Amino acid sequence: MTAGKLSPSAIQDAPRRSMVRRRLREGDLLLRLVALVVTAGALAVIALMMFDSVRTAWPVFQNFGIIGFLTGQEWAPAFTVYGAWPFLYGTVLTGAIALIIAVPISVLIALMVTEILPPRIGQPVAIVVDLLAAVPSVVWGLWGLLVLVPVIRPFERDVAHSLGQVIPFLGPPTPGPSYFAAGLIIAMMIIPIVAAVTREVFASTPRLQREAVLALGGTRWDVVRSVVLPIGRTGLVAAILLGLGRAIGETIAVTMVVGNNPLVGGSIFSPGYTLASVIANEFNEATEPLHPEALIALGVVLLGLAIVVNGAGLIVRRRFERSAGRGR
Amino acid sequence: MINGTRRLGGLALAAMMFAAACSSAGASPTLAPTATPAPATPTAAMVASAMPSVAPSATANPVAYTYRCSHGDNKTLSGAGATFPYPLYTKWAADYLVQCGVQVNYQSLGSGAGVKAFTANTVDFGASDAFLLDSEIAAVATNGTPVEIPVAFGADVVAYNLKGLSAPLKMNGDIIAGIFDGKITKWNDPAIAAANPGVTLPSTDVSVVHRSDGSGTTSIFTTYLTDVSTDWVNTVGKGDKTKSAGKTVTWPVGLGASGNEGVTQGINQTDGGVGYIELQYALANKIPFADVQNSSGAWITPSLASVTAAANLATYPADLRFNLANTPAAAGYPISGSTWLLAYQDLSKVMKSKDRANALVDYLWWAIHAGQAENPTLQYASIPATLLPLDEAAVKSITWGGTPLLP
Amino acid sequence: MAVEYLALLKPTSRARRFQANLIVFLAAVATLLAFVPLAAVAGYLVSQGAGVINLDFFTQDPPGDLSATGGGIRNAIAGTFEMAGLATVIAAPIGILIAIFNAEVGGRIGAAVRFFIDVLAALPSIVVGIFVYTLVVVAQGHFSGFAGSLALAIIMLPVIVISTEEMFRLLPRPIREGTRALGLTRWRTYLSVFIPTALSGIFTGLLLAISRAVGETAPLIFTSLGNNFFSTDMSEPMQALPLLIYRNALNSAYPAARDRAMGAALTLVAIVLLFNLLGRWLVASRRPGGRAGR
Repeated sequence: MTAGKLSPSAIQDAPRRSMVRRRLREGDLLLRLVALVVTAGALAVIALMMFDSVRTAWPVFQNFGIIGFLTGQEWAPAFTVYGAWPFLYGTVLTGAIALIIAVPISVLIALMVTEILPPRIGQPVAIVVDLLAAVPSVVWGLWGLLVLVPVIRPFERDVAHSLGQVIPFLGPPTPGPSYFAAGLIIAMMIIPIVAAVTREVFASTPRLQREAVLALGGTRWDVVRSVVLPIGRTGLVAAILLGLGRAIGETIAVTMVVGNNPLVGGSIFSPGYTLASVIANEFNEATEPLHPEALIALGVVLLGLAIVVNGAGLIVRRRFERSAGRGR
Repeated sequence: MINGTRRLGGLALAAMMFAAACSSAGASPTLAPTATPAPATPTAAMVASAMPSVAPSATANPVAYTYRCSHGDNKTLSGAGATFPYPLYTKWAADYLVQCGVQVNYQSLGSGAGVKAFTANTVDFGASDAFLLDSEIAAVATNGTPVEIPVAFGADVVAYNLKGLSAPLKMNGDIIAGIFDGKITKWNDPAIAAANPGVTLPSTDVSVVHRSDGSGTTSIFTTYLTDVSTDWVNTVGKGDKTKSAGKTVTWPVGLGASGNEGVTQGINQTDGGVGYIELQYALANKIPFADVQNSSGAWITPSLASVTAAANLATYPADLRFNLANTPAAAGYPISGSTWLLAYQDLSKVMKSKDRANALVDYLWWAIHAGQAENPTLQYASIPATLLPLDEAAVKSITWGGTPLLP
Repeated sequence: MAVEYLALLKPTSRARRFQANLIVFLAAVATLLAFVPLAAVAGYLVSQGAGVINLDFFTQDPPGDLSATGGGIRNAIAGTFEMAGLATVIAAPIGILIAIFNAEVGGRIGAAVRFFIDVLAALPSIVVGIFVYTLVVVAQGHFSGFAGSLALAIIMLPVIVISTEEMFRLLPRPIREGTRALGLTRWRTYLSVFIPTALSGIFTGLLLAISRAVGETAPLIFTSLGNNFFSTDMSEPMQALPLLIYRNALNSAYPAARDRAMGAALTLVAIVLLFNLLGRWLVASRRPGGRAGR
């Protein structure tokens, strides 16, 4: 441990060093000042960017009304008609599909790593699952479009022609790129996050209660059912919210497999659109009146959603950490 | 008789040209060779299309042009826009690097993005398969007057993915409009059957793939549809012709894909898929495409020859904004289009250094002359002889604070 | 709870044993399911991209003729590292200073800053791209590597702040309080004690932030544009691996360009994995003096 150049003799000489100490305290002030300026500056720049976006998008909100914009079903730049609903719908639907697939798998993985496998095997397994997060979005999109979509298309067609005849939501058309394909890819991208947080949650289950159940003759499943899951409930909610927050913001992978159709598709196998992907596709070329502003407005909506979901996730997580701490 | 002699002479001359080109190893970085002038370029181009395997080098330029390289310290240029001519522009960039040592960085983001980048002045030149609309010209007024230079011509083909067909399908304007506005949903629709007697059409569903980005390819395609189908205008444009044609339209059906590549991918992946892509993409991917009926009633196969025929207008407007869709030419392919390079007339208002301005005009001058030799191999028609003087005048009109940059 | 515990007093019935085994089985299936996409992606990239990889691939630029085989992705690799490098230079000092600020100033202000950083971490990267486009690209009048670096820096910033803050928080109490007892001033403390002790942790945070930035595509689309040539000029457009992949991997018309993009994808995943694993290894091998005991 490097404790600087202060030696016992230097401390003993302290009274004679009041001048030096004052200069050192000024150094302290300097540090505080620098930290303050940098922090305030960085945050101010970012806040400025956010504020500027809202200001740019304001004409769109004025024109259509905030509710009108959010529920508008038609997105037609050629006619200067802008409605965010198809994209909100797509974002929520793909996020929901992703969660339905990813959460059970992540919870089971977390159980595997914390409860079932011995730590020496569990650790590497956890690392490999985390490595799913290392695959960049563009690679997921690429693989999704070229490999996954052709592979699941027969499956989609079968479901559409069987169950889909009864439940239109699961019916045709099945061109391949769709809400479902996007949801599937997003699921793969959020599994590492949800699994990691859930793992932490389960790992912090109080040993006392866990061993009590075992002492009473419970099986591993009893431990999970009666101790781990109930105590980790809040943490699990936090994990789900964080996963959803990440799902909402996914852009490049989604835009390659979602089908890019700005209409509300009737089934999960229809091509659709999400907030992030329409911005990615159209922003570079938006020249019609109000088109760039409308896209920035979508960005503001996306930002709002991300803040709400992630904020909720963080609050729940902090509450869980506090209660878990107490349980120990 | 006379025709035959002229054609023979043209063939011989073109053969000599190509022989000269093939023997010269690589592009020379300085002046072009002073070979004898070629006959009217359309003839040479048509002949060239009959010999697709010969690859002309950058020096196969028939006229004695000199290429100035007065870029000074500025060794880079950046442009963005259409995906349609992307293969051509990257080839030009490679050739021009050898010619002048200037790196011309072109990013294919789509014509819409090209126009936007040009408007925002974030690139040195834009590229678009659709000429600037009046509103777009008005939007750039603060930067100056735009100069639009058509540099190549290509075909939008209707490509499809159907098994079991031995010959290309025939489609007329009504059929194409019906497919893309969702009225025709199955391949064995009576309208398609009527145009293709004797062909057994499968009962597969029609799966439309269109562009999700603002695209000049879309503009060419929808301009054609607007011209030939009132049904299209009513369905997509709600009766308004300015809304049913353009870089972006409101598609009633189909999958959106990014760029010509994305649409090609989409067609390839789906049985029954159909979309509009540039000829070169269809040829390179070996996707079948339709013969389209033109305004003279003939069934035209998209090719370099039929595009060249369509590109050869009697007169061109002075501002170089013209349409090739639904061409009156008897042998012309009706869904042909032109692609423009966009620059500002007074570069002192939009560029920081005169060197950079010089670099740009030098490149443009090279592109409309030496660059044209690359067009045929990549299945783009070259600038017709009647259009070249107008293009030259356009490049010469580019100034630095009022003084033309090219002497 | 009590009722459940009582229920457990029953001897382990076959049904409950079956339940327990079922869970193990399902968990095993789920874990394997998670491995499948990873293996599939890795396998696909290797099969599609390995063929292009040779020394030339890393030392040459893409050929101008799209159909020409050979050439490489030197400009993309260089661009990625240049922009990530500049982004780190921008984000690291700012991030560490913000973490110091948070550690020094507790209470409401510290909590507010922390919340702001969390919001920043949750920001979709495309929104960051738009921000930087409007404020930098349009203002400067051209796309640039610098704008791309700035966008990446904004994305890296919260990661650095959060992990550095975590490191400071995990410093053992004896160290934190000992310095005060010795009369060291704050800045001296940070410079001589805290930062060196937490260095490996800070470094890990940096590596994780870089691995995230390197894989980002969306913010670069609107800022650095992309460049077909090798460039070291930050004021000109710059190429990056994700951009090259995004623009070329679907180009079935030009298999050579597509193959190069696949090779680029393989390279990118390898780089990200490298940084990721490096970061983890650093965490695992932290010095005993600095171990905070998880």
